[in-house]
Amino acid sequence: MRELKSIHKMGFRLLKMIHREDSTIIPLHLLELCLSLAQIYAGLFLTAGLIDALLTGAYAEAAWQAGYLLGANLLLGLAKYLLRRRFQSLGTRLWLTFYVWLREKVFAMDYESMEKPEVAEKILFSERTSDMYGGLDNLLNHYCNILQSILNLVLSVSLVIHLCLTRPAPGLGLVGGLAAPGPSLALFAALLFGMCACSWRAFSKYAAKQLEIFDSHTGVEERLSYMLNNVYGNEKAGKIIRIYGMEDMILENTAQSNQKSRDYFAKMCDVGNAANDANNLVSSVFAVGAYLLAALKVVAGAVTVGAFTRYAGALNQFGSACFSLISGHGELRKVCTTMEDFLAFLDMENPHASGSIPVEKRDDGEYELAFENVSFHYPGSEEPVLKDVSFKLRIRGKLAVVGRNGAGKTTFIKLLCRLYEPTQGRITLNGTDIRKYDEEEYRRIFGVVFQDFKLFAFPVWENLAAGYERQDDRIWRALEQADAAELVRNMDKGLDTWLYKGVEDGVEISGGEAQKLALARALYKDAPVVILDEPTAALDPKAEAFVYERFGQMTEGRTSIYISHRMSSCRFCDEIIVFEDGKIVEQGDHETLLNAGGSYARMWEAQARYYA
Amino acid sequence: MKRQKDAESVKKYAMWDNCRYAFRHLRQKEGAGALAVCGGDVSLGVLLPFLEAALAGAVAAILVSGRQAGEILLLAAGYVALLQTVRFLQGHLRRQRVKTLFLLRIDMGVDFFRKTVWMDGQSLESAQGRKKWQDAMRNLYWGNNLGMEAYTKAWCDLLLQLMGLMLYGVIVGRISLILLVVLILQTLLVSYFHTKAGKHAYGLENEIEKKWGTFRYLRQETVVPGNGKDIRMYRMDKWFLGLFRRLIDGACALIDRQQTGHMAAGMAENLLTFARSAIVYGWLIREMAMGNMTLPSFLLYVGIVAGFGAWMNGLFEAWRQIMENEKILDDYRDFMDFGMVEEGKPGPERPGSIHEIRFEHVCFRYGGSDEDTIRDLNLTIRPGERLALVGLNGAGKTTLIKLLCGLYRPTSGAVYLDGKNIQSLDQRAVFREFAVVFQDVFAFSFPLADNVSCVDCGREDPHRLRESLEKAGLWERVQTLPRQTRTSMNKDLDEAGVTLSGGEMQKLMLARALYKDAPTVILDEPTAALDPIAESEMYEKYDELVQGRTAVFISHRLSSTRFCDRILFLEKGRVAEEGTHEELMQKGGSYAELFALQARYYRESREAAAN
Repeated sequence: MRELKSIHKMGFRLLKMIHREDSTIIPLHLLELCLSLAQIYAGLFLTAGLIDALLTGAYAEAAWQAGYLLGANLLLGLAKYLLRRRFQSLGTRLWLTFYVWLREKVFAMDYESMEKPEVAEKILFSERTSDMYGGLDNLLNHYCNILQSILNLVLSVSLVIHLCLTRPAPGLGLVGGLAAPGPSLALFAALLFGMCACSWRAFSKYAAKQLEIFDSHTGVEERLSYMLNNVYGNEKAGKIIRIYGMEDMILENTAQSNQKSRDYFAKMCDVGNAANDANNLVSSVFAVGAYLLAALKVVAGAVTVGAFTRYAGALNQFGSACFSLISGHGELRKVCTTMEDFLAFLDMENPHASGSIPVEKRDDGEYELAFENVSFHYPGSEEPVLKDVSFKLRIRGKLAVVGRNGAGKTTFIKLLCRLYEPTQGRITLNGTDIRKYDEEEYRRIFGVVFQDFKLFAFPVWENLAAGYERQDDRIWRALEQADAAELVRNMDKGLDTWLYKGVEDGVEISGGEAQKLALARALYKDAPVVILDEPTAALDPKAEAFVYERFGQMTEGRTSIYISHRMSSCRFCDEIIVFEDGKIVEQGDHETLLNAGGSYARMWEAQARYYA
Repeated sequence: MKRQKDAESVKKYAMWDNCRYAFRHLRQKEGAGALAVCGGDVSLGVLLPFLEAALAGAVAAILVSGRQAGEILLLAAGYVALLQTVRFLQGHLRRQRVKTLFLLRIDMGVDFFRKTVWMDGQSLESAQGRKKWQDAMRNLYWGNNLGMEAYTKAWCDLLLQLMGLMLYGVIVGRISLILLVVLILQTLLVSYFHTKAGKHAYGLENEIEKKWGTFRYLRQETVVPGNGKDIRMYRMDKWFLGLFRRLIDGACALIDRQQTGHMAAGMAENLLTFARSAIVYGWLIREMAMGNMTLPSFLLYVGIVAGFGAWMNGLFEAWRQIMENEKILDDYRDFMDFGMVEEGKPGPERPGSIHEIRFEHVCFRYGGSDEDTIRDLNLTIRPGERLALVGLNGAGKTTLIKLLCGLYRPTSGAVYLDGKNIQSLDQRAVFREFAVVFQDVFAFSFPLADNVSCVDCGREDPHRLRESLEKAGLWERVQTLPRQTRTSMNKDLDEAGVTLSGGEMQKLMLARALYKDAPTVILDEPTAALDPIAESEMYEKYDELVQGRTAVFISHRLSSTRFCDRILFLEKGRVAEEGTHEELMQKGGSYAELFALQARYYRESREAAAN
């Protein structure tokens, strides 16, 4: 019972969300449902009239009855088609809106939360279940089905009770006795009770079985879908599989999962079939009983043959309404259970409160950023990545950040961009803790090219402007600065050229070219602080030299941070910090650090000696 | 122009051939019982609607027969029981059929995977191959209503509807041919309207599909955790959410337009049904009035007439389904016949020993490109030689190594392994002679050990595994992982999986190449993500790493050329310069220029320090 309550609590919450999204969907569905019922019962009554008229030889009357029957069908049918025109698009809209809601939440979340595996899992699970079992549109349909079944039950039961209450013609002995209101009511009640009890038992038994199989089966479809999309469907994987002779290993791996998946679905189908068979058996027995009851009434002279068809129809309706109520509710329960994760995800709160102070707009770029005793470890890990880092970023300075792999350079940047929050200490902007600023405003002061930056399969200009206004002259200026203007000019449609083949038949660009575009994106934002994480890793020496030469110009009037394993890049920076094991171990300009003979000098020497 | 050629290159198969293909596979994969299930479903599928249509008439006939009460009740119950039995059996068989066809789709996946893995890499990697793969995949992995499953089902349905239609046609035709003509005319008109609406809808399908494609892409990318950084830094949430809404609005507007057509067709059908029913009822009532017909047959004919249209519609629907999936099946079979699977070629003569590799007038051009990527290239790599391959982006370095290890076939010219044309040798055997670190670092989401050894868990040589990880400089890091070498890579398949950093991934790729212990080692940009110390360590260890092997090293870091015997400077698909570092520096050509460019920042400092 409690379960029932929680299911409908969720269900109604989702219905409310649906109504808020589009206020026409629910009323339209309700109207359609009434029309469907009207069509069924008009058909039953008018057919009965027709048959009685034919039996009594009143053919003119029969013709009128037939006319009413056809007319009612025509009008109700036309009305239904009119109503249903928008059902398809509304259903699609609902189904898709689910994914948008999910993303609204994803975007509003802290980056830190988003990187947590359990969150990623929640998202994936919600998406996959919506893909597989249908989402909001199904929820609405199931609710409509349930409501229609209930109304249908009420109508058919009243008709059947009416049937039971009819009195047989006198003097028919046993038949007459059975057809009397009391016994026929009892007969009907027995049928009804028997059916409900059997259906319910069958339903619970098989539902439990299904759940058992479902629970014991995890991860196989995930594995198959990973293999399909990321191994067989991955263009990078083919050559590795071939060169390293992984064919058999991969195939065996897949065959095993495939077999497991097959067994699972076969079992699921079998249980589903058994459940359906049991249900059908029950409803068959009920149907035979129902026809007997109605026939009894006819034989006993209580109702006419025409009325018999009406009541038999009502009994039929009753049986199918019971069935669709039970199965509809089962389906609804399935949908609601799968939506549980989705709702829980929407309810998730960000671990960190977001600030609200606007960031002061300054034309002079005087944004002073400082780390004050900042320590950090990733959520779920004890290992500190940054240890007690204190550092003040020189305004309009050029800072180089160097260090070995895993020394904390990228984490340092992520903290600065407020993608993570320090576990200890604080970061300040013009003396105020950055947590107090409005997130979006704060991030506006950074133009970052991450090591694993991402361009999307959309037109060039959209990639560059991203969430900001399109201004062609400024886009071109950013492209010039990033040495990508030539590249874009040579594309078929300039700024309107699509990238990659993911969506449109766009242009494929190399890693180096992508890096230039990402750089242009950072510059277009016109942020006072520009951060480049390994911007030349994929560039050939010529392109690399170009970036070096132009770096000063690119970042003119801004504060810039440059992270690179190519030590030569330190030459055009006026300050260098060296990370080791999460700490800043050295700080100063190139000459000073080189002469100091520490970590920096060692790294420099490691590369420079080959160029001597 | 080029697209059209691509589209034409998909092989077409005759419809009967596809039908045979489907049912042959059904028998092979699911056994002869599967065919029996389909057959049984068809016969019961015809019988059931007939019994249902006859129900009202039959019961009415029993009721007005004037028999004894008990007899009447028994007969009525008997008829209903018969009907229910058939219904029960039909339901059971129908679900069996659904199950069987679904399992067929799962089982066929194995063939598809085998084909993907065993066909030649060049065909699969080509733009055409990628497209064919994507199209073929739809046959099995786009749900129950598309591809193999739907196609086989549609043929069963077609047979069912045809038989039902014939049965009903005979029944109606026996009492009145005119009535039969009216029925056929009405259903033809109805299907004409529906076909028209369908065509109208189909015309918009492309546009909708395009929006779908974008939606799918955006859906995927927006939840990739790594993309979250750029999304937050560039306010892309505004861009993407707006785009999502626009896509939904656009797609829904198109669907509405489709549905308007369907609605008009539906209303026309309603009107036509009204007209047909008016004629039929009028005729039947007249027949009854004239005493030519009894009530039970009146009811039977009403049921039959109503059912006739359903058979006809079902027939058209089954036909439509077949036609819709015909293309998908063509695409699938086209892919399964695409590319090359070679057999019976000999392997290299001396497997496992160092080889001489020779390029003779090799040209290579990617499909769809109008320029050669490699042009008339001549090159001999001596056994045990250390070669450095340098050049600007797009000079053809990566293509060259794919030709070198036999992944790609030259468009003209030939590559020789110890004097034997690589094309004449067994490809997989040739691959065994090469260990390649490709530029794109990429690990399968399997345990780390599997990624290095490339065999299933537990079958690897633990000693060799450790040795290669140590040499690659990753062993210490592996010791800190939660399950050491058993730790899964990434979180796709294992929540406890670990994502390695770029530098660590490169070391992993190197470890894999070392584990393979092949006589030829090819390293494409193996140090791009390494820090200066790790990079220099690798340089220092390079001799040891490639000891006794032929080695090719590709890098933008020109310092790497110092420990190679010979440098090839590639420009526009040709060897523009070659020689040792000193020779090329003396020559003062493109290589020297490039080297100076990179060295400048290191040198100036030295000079500055010296001053």
